[in-house]
Amino acid sequence: MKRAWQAALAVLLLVFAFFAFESLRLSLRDALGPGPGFFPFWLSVAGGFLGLVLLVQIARGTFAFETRNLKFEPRPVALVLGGLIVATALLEAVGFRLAMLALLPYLLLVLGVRNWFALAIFSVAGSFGVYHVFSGLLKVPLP
Amino acid sequence: MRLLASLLFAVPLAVLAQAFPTKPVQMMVAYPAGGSTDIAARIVAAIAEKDLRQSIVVVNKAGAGGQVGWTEMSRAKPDGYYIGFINLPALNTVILDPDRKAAFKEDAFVPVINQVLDPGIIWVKGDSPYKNLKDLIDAAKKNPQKISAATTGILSDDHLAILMMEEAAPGAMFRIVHFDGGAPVMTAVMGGHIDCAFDNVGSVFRRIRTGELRALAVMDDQRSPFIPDVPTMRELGYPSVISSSTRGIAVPKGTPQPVVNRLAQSLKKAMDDPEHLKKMEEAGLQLRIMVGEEYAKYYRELHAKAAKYTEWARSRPHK
Amino acid sequence: MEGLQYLVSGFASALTPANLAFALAGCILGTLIGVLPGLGPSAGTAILIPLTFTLDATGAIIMLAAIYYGAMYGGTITSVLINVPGEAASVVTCLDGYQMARQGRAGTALGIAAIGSFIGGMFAALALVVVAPPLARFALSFGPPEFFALMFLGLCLVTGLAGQSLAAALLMTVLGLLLALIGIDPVRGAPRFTFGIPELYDGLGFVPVVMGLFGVAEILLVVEAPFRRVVETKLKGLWPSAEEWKRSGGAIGRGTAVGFLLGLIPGVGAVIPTFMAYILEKRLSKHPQKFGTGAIEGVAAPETANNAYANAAMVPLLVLGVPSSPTIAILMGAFIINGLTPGPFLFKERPDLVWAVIASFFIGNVILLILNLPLVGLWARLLRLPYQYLCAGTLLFCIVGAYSLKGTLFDVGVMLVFGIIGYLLRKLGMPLAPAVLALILGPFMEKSLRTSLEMSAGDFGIFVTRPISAALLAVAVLILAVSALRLAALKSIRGGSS
Repeated sequence: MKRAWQAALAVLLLVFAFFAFESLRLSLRDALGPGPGFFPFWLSVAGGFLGLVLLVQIARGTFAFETRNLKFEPRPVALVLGGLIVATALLEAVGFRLAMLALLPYLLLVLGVRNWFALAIFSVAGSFGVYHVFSGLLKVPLP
Repeated sequence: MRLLASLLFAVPLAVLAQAFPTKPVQMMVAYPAGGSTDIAARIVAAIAEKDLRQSIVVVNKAGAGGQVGWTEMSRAKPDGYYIGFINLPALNTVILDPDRKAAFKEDAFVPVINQVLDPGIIWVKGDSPYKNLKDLIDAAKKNPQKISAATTGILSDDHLAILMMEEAAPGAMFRIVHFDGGAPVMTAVMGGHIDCAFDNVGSVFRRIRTGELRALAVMDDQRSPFIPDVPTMRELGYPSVISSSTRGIAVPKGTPQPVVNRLAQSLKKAMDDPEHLKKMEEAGLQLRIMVGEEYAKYYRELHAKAAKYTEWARSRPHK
Repeated sequence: MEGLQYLVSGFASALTPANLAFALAGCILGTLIGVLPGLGPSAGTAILIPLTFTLDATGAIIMLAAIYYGAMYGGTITSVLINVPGEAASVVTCLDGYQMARQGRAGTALGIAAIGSFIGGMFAALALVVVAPPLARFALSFGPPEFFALMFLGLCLVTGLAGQSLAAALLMTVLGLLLALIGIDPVRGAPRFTFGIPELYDGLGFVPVVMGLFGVAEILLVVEAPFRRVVETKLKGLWPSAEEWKRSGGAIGRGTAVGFLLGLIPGVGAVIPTFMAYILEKRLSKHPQKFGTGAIEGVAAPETANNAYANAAMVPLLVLGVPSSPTIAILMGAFIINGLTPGPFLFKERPDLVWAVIASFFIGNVILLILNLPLVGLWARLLRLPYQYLCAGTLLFCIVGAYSLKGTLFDVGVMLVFGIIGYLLRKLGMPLAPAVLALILGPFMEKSLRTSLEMSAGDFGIFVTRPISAALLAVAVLILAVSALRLAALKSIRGGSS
């Protein structure tokens, strides 16, 4: 946990540095008062400062780690996420209905559903059904 | 031979125009729903649908003062199924301000037909000490940069109008405060936080009528039919201060001319329709219909004018 | 008071079958819009504007108003059931509402939300009738500096949601603020941190980010560690316990006050009242650590506040003619299309219409209650589905929601990215709420700050020379100081070094 926090804070510090850098490019002050970079720059500085404070606290051991989700099981998460990413990438290419028709059974299978009938119904409803409701009835365009 | 060739091309194009439209047309409004551009758009769309024989779907793509919507339109397929409202001079300043890094230039759009011309207006709270324009200008000259003036957005027509005013009344300098749209301007001035507002007639004329707000001048050649008692800039001795917000429909560059003509035809018919006139009057929006080349010319002229004031706005000293 | 006599005739007109039907339709549509992803009240009301062309003015406005506050409740349903806020105002409800659902008490959460909403809405409507005009005038004294101070206060209050580490919460707040600044600079028009992607010109988009942080992240966590959901289906179990009623009572009362008062100020937005009500409850509670784990007050307070707010937000519209939010601006558009100007003179010109609309607020609140309470059991029953279907369904919901916002794939991508970020942050135990509030408030805060500075020609003193903003800032600083001291005291009690 300690390592994880330190890694996360390192990333955040990089993010703040990036924002600070970009803000400087945008000009902090110009003829019309505070420029576009003013607010973000000082925020980045504050963020960087806080990040350092936390790193110090962690190093000194005075930081109370507050976690409830320690169990770490990457496989299902990665599978679900992977499926989502692929489906999203293909969403506009193959259209909503087909993409969801592929994604939904995939998700259900990955999560352990073995009731083929229910799976099929759910997938069709979720893809074609939802498409019809949104695109047809509600006039909300889906790809 | 050439005649034959051009005839050969004309026929399919004409057929295309005849066939157009075969599916619904999307009309983009670059501002949020409920705003005056949106209201006017919906009014005209509902009527033009009949002549076009296909539905016109109004879609709002608000953001960045219109830039988001216009960026999308500049990239849309020029087949006539995507048309959009352009607001001048807002569009001009988006293109002209180098900071905004607009992805398009003024030739990215073909103006089809203009609908509304909403003249600029200067107004103050009903119980304000400034009874007329002279009071305000005198105050601005006596205390340069102390009299606050609200606009509905940076580099908006209101903003440019303030600059025109300062140019026409040398020595007068306002403290310009920018807000995000008409509603915050209303609250700020009514709440006494800002001294005056440069705005457009359409947003405020009803309240002027009731006396809640006081109009000092209208920035047009003629008096507004909605508030005929308010003098124009010309009458008050500042004929160069003419500013307004115009809203019209355009299509992406490259849309075939016959399609453009067809659209113009339906839209003009809709705008001349008595129901359209009635609804627009109820909404307080003044019509100034310009079609085709007339509108294109206006567009180009306004762009040149905006260039001058945009440059000035960026270099204007602030204390 | 002649207002009373108008109110009575207003009721008469609001209770006609036609107007009742409009109110009913509005409530149903509103709830649906609130539930359906991506279709926030803005989009939904916008879609229905064309209808107002065909209906008469009174009916149209009654319906649109009903949609607006109906949507407030609809958003709650998804917050409680699947941890996806239907819209901005429902974010806070996720914190405790979803936890209650996990404990099988979804029905109770939804029930108290319905009841709280009803009470909040009714009181606000009542107060609207009685005190609106003078209060509305006072609300105008909120200018840009006061707005900034108010939002600053809100963010400082958020340290109350800090958990154990003030520094971590502040860090998240700063991060949220920075993310909120992505997009076109509202004052100068320069694109910031956008990498040249036009979709980012308008910022990250609150909805995709929150759907990702809350919805997708939650799914990823659930997928990792599926839990057996206990669902209470007996009606008796759906009802809050006596003790919970007692705790909720105070929450509802305070929520109403907070929501109503903030609703009067034009331009506040629905999110601030919900956060403030929640934090107020947490601070006043004898068991603050229970918040975030399923405390019923944590649902009662924000839900009441947001309906009180929705009703009260009509005041700036009706009395001053100023819309408080984009959705209300649409409502105002409906007025204008029908040739009416909201404002004090509308009261004089068309009292029949105005009072009929006000009367319909009361009726609408009642309809909402009647509509939603019985459905609570139904919604709770949805959670009996095996978790796989719920997960897949929620993801589907989120994808549709994110896409349908603007019709771009980009938003779906943003949602996924923040889903991953949310997952990681939850694993680490970093507090999300401060970041979310900061994300919402960021743009307004910056605009207010810079508008204030334009007003004062660059002088920062404007914030302290004006009484209201000075007062708000002083309270904010005080709260930060108290928080810091309290946490330091806790640490030293536990024996750690400084």
